[in-house]
Amino acid sequence: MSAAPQSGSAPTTNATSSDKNADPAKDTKPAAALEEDDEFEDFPVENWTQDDTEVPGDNTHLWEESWDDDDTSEDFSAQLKEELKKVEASKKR
Amino acid sequence: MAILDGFLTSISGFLRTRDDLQLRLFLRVEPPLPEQFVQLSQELKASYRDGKVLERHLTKLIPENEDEYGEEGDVWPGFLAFMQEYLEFWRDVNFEDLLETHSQLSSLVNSCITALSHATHGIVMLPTAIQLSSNLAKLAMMLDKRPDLTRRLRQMADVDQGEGRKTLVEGTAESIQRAFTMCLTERSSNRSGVGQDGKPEGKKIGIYSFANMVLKLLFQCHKIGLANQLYTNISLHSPPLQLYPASQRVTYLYYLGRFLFANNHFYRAQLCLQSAYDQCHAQCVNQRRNILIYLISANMILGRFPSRAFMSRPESKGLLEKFAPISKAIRRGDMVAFKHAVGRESGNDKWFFQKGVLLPLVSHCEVLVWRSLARRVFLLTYQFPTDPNSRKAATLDIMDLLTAAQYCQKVLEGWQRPVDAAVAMQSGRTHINSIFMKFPDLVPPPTGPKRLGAQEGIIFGNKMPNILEIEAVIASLVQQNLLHGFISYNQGKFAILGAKQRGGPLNAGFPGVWEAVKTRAEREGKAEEIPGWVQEERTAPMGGVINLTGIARPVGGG
Repeated sequence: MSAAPQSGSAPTTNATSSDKNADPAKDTKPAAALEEDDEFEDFPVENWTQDDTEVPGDNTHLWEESWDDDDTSEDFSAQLKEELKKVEASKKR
Repeated sequence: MAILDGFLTSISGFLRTRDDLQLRLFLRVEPPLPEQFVQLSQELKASYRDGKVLERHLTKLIPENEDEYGEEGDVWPGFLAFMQEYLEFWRDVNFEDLLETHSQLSSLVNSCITALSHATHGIVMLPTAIQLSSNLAKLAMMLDKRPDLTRRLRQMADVDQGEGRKTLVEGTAESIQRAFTMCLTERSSNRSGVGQDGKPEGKKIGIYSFANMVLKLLFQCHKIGLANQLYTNISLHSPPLQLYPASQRVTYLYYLGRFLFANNHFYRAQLCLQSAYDQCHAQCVNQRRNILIYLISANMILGRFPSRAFMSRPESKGLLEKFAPISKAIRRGDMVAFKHAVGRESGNDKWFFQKGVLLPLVSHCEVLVWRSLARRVFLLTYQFPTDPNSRKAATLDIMDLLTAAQYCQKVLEGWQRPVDAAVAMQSGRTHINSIFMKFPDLVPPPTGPKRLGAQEGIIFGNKMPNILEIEAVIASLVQQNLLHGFISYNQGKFAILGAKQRGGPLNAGFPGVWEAVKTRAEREGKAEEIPGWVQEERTAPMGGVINLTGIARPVGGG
């Protein structure tokens, strides 16, 4: 038994550790180093609480639902307006 | 002999005390590992070349301790077969040859899953089976990215099975799926699979660990169609997802969201991905970013754009910039800008393609651009009535929308306005009276119109839009509830309905996209139940005894 692998000597490669105090940040790369093709990694911890999911800032208005743009002074609208006028004029000719 | 004997004595002890976590700790294969594993391997190489000798030694140290009634003890044949294979793995493994290691580990996982299948004692193997399967899945994923290593395998398979062969990743998914099915369909004392403590019972604990590995592999080998059955089975047999640990919930909802996204169920995909995102650990940036890519894509298609709230979040770094030109083009109805935002000009097309969101964005967001373009043309052409009591319906001339579509097509083909000599002489400064000046006509490029791919043109490649196509576009928008009104073919106009009741022709004729999509999804019941996502404990009877009275009459009895 003495020579068998002991739990104490085992490195913490335990993927399904349920240690809630472990800091998952130390196992994840900072955002700047994220590769474009980084795939979805296994989580470094098994479980966490609702508190651990909270991020600072506005969490209630994540999505913009009313986004219609009524400004017709920008370039695309100006060009379009001119084109419509031109075609209208050619019809009257 | 010290290492092997000590090792087996410990294993035997863990079986007796049913210490599944210690078993997992001892039955490992993935480096880095403690020095003892190297010694174990050396000892096996030196003294147990003969499998028969090993088997005898194994049964001596882990005896099938039958009780006095001859009943089977806590050691079962499936476990001994697994142990034999485990020791042979450590005797023969050569981590330099990863392809061979994968094959040996596959075989080991199969025998571990067989040991897991024992109705009474198999459960003690669950953590070990999850660990070994996870190691195998990781190795398969790694090998899949190394075609130089798997070439030999492909050549062999080509000769053996022709086109019907399975890839290494797909084969691995299939092996692990066996464990998944075993956990899912295990008969539990309670029909819902939930114990009295409110937790999943027995092997049902392992359902989502195995499901997530299988899903990861199926996505890797682009065989997500095979996940269909997995989701159906989960809907039928699984305890609610919320009873499982957060990491399993988030991973599962991420893959379910991607599966639904890939199958054009964007509303349901959005619900799964939003839930995954909300439940994800705040510091797990990689996972949050992956979820966000599909969450933003699904929402864009449904008419919701990411707000500024995302700007301060590390996971969205570099992401919003890729999607912003698309949402800007949708807002303005600028079809030219849209085609460029999803085309080669953006420099993002390859990235969108790699993530599997390019084609859905191109084909589904284009619908929203058409809606905004129609709205824009209406804004530019409609004369709001001076008489507030006018009963005349607000209309959009279909010819005007055609003019706009043809204008966009010409710009995409490279048509330009000739440079005005008078403007050029002012070094590019605009004349103060420019708003009164006329724009010259667009002319095609001297070398001929730019050749456009099928998706690069307004309708199809270099096809110049005509009135029929524009009518079809409007009819389709009406059918999707993105325009509210009807087409008058006699007058060649789209007439808006209910302008008075809905606060003007803009609000009435061009309902908000998200609102329209959401109303429709709710009406169709898409928000209530999502296949594959078990939200409530099952109460309806399933898998029980079927009453055959009146159906199965004895032969000759009827």
